Amino acid sequence: MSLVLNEVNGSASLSQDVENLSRNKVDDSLREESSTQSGTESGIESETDDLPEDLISKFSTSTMLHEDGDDQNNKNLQSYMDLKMIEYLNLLNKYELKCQEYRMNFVNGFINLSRANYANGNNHRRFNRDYYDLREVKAIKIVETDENNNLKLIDLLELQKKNLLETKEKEIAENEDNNNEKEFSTLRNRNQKNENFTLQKKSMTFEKKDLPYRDPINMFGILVPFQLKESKKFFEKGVYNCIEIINLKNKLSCIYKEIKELKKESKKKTT
Amino acid sequence: MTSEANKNRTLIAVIGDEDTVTGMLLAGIGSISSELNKEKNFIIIDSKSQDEDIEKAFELYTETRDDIAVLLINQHIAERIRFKVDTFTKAFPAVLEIPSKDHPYDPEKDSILRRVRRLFGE
Repeated sequence: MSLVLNEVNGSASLSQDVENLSRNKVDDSLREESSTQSGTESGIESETDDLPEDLISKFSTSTMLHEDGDDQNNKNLQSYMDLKMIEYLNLLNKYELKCQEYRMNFVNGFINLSRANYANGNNHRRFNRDYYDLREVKAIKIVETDENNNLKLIDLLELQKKNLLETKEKEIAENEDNNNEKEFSTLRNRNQKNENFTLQKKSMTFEKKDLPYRDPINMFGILVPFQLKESKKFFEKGVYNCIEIINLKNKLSCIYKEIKELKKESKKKTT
Repeated sequence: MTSEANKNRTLIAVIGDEDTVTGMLLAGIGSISSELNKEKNFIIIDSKSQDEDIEKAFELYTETRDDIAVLLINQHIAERIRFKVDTFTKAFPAVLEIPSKDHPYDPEKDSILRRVRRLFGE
């Protein structure tokens, strides 16, 4: 009886050990599955947004490249590469859309320029290099680079107009304050000149001459066809799109380099 | 040092045909000054222009001048100096190929899309 009981107890302990081993294996597989699932879920989320920070902190290109070869590390490397690929494809999608947009803007710009040349047909002059004003002039669209080497287009003419408006509003406000202090008669005195009016006129002419940035369409004349103004708008949009495309290209080339490094490393680990 | 040097780069240069340059000047990128080697930031390439002229203009805007941040060049003109454009790998100025009136944009010649083919073709 005791021998039978011992045997039963032994087998029970054996079976418990087997159960524990199988439970551990199942837990490991579940952990692996959850890590891959979380990777894919975050990849789907990052279709519209950047990669989540917790995943970036878990995986980084440097840790992936410099850790010793191991099955788990290889799997992590593969999942990180997949994330980078998804990010690359999302940016590529944006790049394609921007390219279509800027091409359309250029096409419409050229079409309207041709229409403007046709509209100017009576004068038998095309809007071309013969019109260019080759006197010293400053560019009104410039580019600014930030710390991450991203470019930003700045319209200096718009800034100039805003500053002018602000100064004029201030002047008007100051004049109103001054006028409120004085007492004016409602009757106009023809003999006395309106000093305020002449001063304002002088200041206006002074400001116009002093302006550093001028609208480039004025070199084609004051009365230009409407199509030329439309053409200008499309080319301005096209230039803005060009800057966005350059920023996207820089990001794409960075991610491309990372993916290449990761691919090389994964090949080394498999061989 | 490089970031400070890049901050001085503010202009957009153009190498293109007459209509492209006219359009870019309308957009307001044109800059003319009396400084030596910084007279104009745009060059018109017509049927009479040689490949050497285009190369000289490209070198002027990419290497000689230090105030150009972006270089826009028509794709059909870039084809004539394709080797020079493809071997230019510096970050600044950024070179972008743009379509022209007579030559629509060919995505086969886009460097980014060629890289994608290489990446997914491996």
